Amino acid sequence: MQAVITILNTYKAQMQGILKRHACSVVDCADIVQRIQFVRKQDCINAEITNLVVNLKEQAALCFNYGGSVSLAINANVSFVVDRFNKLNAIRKHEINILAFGGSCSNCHYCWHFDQDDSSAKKNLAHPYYHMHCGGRGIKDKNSGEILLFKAPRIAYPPMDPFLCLHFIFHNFCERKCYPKFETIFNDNDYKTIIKFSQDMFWEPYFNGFSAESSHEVFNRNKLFPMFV
Amino acid sequence: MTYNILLIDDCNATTIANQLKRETKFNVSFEKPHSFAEMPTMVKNGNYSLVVIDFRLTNGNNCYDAPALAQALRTPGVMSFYDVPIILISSESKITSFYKQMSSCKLFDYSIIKEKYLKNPDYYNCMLLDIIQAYDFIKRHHKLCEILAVPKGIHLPDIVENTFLLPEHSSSLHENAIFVLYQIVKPIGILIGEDVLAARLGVSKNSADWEALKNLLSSYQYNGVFSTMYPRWWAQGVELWWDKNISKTFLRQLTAEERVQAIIQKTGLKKMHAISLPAYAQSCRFWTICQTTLKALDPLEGFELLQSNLYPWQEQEYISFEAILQGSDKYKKYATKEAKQRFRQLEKDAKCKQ
Repeated sequence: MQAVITILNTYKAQMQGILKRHACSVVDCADIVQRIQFVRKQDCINAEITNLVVNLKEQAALCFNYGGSVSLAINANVSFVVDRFNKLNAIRKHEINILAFGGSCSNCHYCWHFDQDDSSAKKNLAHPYYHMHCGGRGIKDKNSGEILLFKAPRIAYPPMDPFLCLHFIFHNFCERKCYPKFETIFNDNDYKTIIKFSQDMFWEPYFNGFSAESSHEVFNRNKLFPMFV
Repeated sequence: MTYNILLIDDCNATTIANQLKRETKFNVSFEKPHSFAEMPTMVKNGNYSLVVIDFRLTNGNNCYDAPALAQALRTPGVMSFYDVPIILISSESKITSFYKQMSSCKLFDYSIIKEKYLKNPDYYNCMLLDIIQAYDFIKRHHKLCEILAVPKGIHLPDIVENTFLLPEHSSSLHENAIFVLYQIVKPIGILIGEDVLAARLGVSKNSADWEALKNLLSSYQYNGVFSTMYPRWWAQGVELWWDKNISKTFLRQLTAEERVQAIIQKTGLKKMHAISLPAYAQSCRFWTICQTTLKALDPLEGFELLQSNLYPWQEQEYISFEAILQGSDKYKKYATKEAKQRFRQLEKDAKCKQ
């Protein structure tokens, strides 16, 4: 387990170096060091992001009703166990919130919530074990104007560690026309190495779970995609 | 306790010497430069705690200036190596500003313009005393967390300690000291100054209760070396304090007014007002300051300045739209290509709206 923590911390420093090397201004590189932590807690590895802010300054028309700059605050609490081969054994906790705020649109907010949950039996609503939810608790107290804040649907989405979180943000919010540097970042071999490591750890077992043969306790079709018949 | 100070100048430096003597802890000696072969040894044998050197030492028969002498004292392994603070003083502002930027050249701990020193000698004497005491403290404490007096609950990123231990920062007291001063204490990063503190809390420093609010944060005030001259707070501590005492909502998501209202409600300190929106700004979710106007700024509206050799814990520096319109020199010299493009686009948009 310690070997994995060491790798993650090395990759954290490398990720900072990559973003710095490509003069990526959407994230303050100091925040990568200070707001992303990988620590051992009993038999688990805790991967946390605490209030890491992504500044989307370019007027990238990300919203239908707003075209200005916006900030995204990421909070993540992912706790996982590895086996003696340093492969993922279990994810004990998985909660990620991405909150959009700020810019000239001063009182507007939005939230994306990523969860690990198995409460389908209670609500009779599709509840994929790893899911993404647009809206979420992060904005439930905000003035929603004419927009309804639905609890459903919970869309199946693979689990993520802090690096995959950043990868998610860069791919979904940093339009290449406005942030051309991401083309080079995504092709940077060091960047690919980091994402590949996290992908092998978290996404490989998740996607393998969709195979009919999977007998994994969590990574199986019925848990990952309950609507499957 | 008194400290022996050596002042080296090729002219009669009575005025500077007299001003140095205003500090009762300074025992000031004055020397005119001798031959280059003798000078470093003479300095070393004097048991001085600090050396102040005038840049020009060439009046008379000497053919060397302050950097040559400092280099002889700073070179480890040679007989004349002398590990004390060396201060450059000069009436030529071009010289001092050059060495200010060249703190990495590791010759002088600080560069002072003579006229500025004479206008405010007590301020600079206090600074010199702070430098001497920092060397003294670092000599007796080797761990960075002791040198910085890291308070309970604050996690110093490993990279800071690892970098501090690199040979280029740890082979002399001088290297230790300038690393702590120029890479940890002065830049915005793990420590923040009063302007950034006010920006993060959203509170105007002119508020009557500002001092009282700072007192509430005293457990996260920086008490390590150089803290006399540079009042700083632990950035992480401010967030911990906020989280524990004021609100679970991350500071940065709130506007200055919302932050102030939350502080008033939780602390009972009523005489506080929010930092008003600076000219041309649209967001009052302040987090940093403009490097020219020193006014609070949301990084989302800031224009990035290029900083060479930025360490991993040091935050990006920005300049505001307002400062650029005022003709900021920093923008012209240091703004990134992207920041300049963004500024031109925003300026164009603003003109179209008019």
